[in-house]
Amino acid sequence: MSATPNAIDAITAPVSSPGEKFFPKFEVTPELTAKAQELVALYPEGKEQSAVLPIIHHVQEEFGYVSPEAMPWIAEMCKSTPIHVAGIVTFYPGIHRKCPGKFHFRVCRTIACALSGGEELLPYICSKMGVDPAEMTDEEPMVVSPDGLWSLEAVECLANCGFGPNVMVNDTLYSQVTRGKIDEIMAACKKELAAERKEAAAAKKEAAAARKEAKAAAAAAEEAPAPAPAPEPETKKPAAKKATTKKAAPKKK
Amino acid sequence: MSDITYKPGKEPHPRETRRIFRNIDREGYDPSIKCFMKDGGYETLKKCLKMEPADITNEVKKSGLRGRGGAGFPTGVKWTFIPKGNTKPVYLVCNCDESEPGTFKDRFIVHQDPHQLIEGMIIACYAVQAHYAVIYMREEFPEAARIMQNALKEAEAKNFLGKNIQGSGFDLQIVLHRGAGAYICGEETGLINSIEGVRPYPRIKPPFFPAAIGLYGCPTIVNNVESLCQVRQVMLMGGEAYAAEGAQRSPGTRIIGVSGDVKRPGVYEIISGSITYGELLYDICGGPRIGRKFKAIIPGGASAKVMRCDEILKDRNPDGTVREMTIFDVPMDLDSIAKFGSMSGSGGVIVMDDTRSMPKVLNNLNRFFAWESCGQCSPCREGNPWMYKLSTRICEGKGSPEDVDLLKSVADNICGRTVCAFGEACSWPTQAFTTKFREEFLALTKPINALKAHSAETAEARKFLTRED
Repeated sequence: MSATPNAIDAITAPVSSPGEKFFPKFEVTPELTAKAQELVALYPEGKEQSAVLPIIHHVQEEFGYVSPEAMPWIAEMCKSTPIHVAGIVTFYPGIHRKCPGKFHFRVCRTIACALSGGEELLPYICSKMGVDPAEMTDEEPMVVSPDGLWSLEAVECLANCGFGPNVMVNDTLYSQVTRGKIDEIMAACKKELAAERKEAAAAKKEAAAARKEAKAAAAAAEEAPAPAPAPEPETKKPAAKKATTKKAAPKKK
Repeated sequence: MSDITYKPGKEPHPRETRRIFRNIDREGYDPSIKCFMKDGGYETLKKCLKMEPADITNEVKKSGLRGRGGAGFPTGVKWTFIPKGNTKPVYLVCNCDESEPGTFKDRFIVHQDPHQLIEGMIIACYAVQAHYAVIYMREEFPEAARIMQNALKEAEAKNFLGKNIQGSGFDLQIVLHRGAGAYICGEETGLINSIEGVRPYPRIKPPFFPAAIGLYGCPTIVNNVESLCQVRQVMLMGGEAYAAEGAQRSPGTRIIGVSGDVKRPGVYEIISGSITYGELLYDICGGPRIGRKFKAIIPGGASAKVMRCDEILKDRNPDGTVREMTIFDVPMDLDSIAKFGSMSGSGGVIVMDDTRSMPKVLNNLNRFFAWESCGQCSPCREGNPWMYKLSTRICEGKGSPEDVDLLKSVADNICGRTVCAFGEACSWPTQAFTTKFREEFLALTKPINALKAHSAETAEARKFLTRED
């Protein structure tokens, strides 16, 4: 008897997605709590529940989607219950229960965009992303590519009807999109990813170098126990800066 | 006005009158407060803060300004619905959940001229004595949310928001609240529920409108973005001057968004009633694409009833004689089109030419409404997917002639049987398309299809009822 899941368990069951590797796993940090409290403070006293959407938006921005673990925390923050938060999460189409890809494409398919060829873009984008268009159903309009880089969602009206077809990639709206423009957008996304990876690699290298230096310094400190030589350069630096600003000031006059 | 230059290719049409859209696509204009104040921004507010709140409401009432969200309710009258002797706090909510397909006017205001909206909101808040206001912005405007958040900060730094605004003793806080992609949040009570943090099911309205019992059970005024910008315009021009311009029953300017099969789709600001649909589509929008003809027009957002371009409309002249005309002769104000069974709504004109299949257009709309129904009332929740199923079946050539009547009958039975206006919004397109383009629907159907099972379950159930030979 206990093995059969009820409807609520089914709603809050985790849905795995290849997009997850591009987002951090949900974790409650002091910064996150502080941000949530800041959002709650925007609303009148005793109306903490109003902050449920803003907090969900923040969680989605940070972690890509609203995971089942996040719901009780959100409920705690806005003095509500987890089931209430689940009710909100399942209502809105703009809230994801499944992690989207690194680059989330939203293609409008409502009347005005459909008249200008928005629906014909969907199969093309699917083939470019390497996803099966049949996976996209009316119940679950979002598909994620196997590498987690791309996701595609067919949405209703993006409110730019005069200039269709409209496609939104993450937070940017592209209008009058053609197949050629899709290629361009995807190439730009790949470039962005490469640049980000390069930056991350550089940051990693720097961190590694810093660690090495720290190790060397520690080793040196062990060899010759000199009392704290570190603070000296720190005090020197601001003094040097001040000197330069002083020099610059008369020039302006 | 002549000193304003617009970005190349974005110049307004000579027949346009740019008031609300004055700074849209203007050369060298950015959404910062500096730019807005250089242009005379917040001067109207300073003037208004010296007036009595009731005088502002009277001025707006005198102007005859009607809401631009779709229903066209007089804005000033709405403000007076706050119960007399009210002791609860009053709230003002700006409805920026622009989600009616075909409407895309507010997008430009919140992206390019956010301070115009903020000034209008402060004036409105002062008039109704609200000290807390919310801008409900749709989730699909992330860029606008950032611009607006920044604009609110700028306004607060200059003491147009916060405590004791410009030394008038009036306090106001404006909060930006983002939706999450639900069409129903454009309905004012659904929107209020969404701000309260519960599922945005619309509330039962009569006898208590949000102006009496709204957000957190307190009097709440919900106004559209364009309406609030028009409030600023009214106070700038004076109520009487505003009322003197445009159509008698819907004065001022209107922003019309044209989409679909025209040469130059886009947004145009015109004096209400100054031009007809024909002039809009042929003169301003450049007519149909080469080699095509106009076939149908949806005059006021997806939920308005469709109009046939070759339909003869009969109107009565003031002397009692009957005048025959087409949709192209109908003036563009809020009421004229209502005489012919449609509505001007939020000003989103969707045009279809003779290459379009009307059943397919309806099928697209039905999918939209089936997807966006909130699920509170069963006629709408069950009826919309049913209508979508039926129109899909017809489009796929699997429908029977009876299905067309069934489709209309489902729509007839949703209309008027729901809590909010979504019931009407979803059934009007189906009612209009199936009556006005009936022959197109029938052409796709086959009588034999009535005997066929449409799903595996029906086939199974019918197994013993039909003879194989």
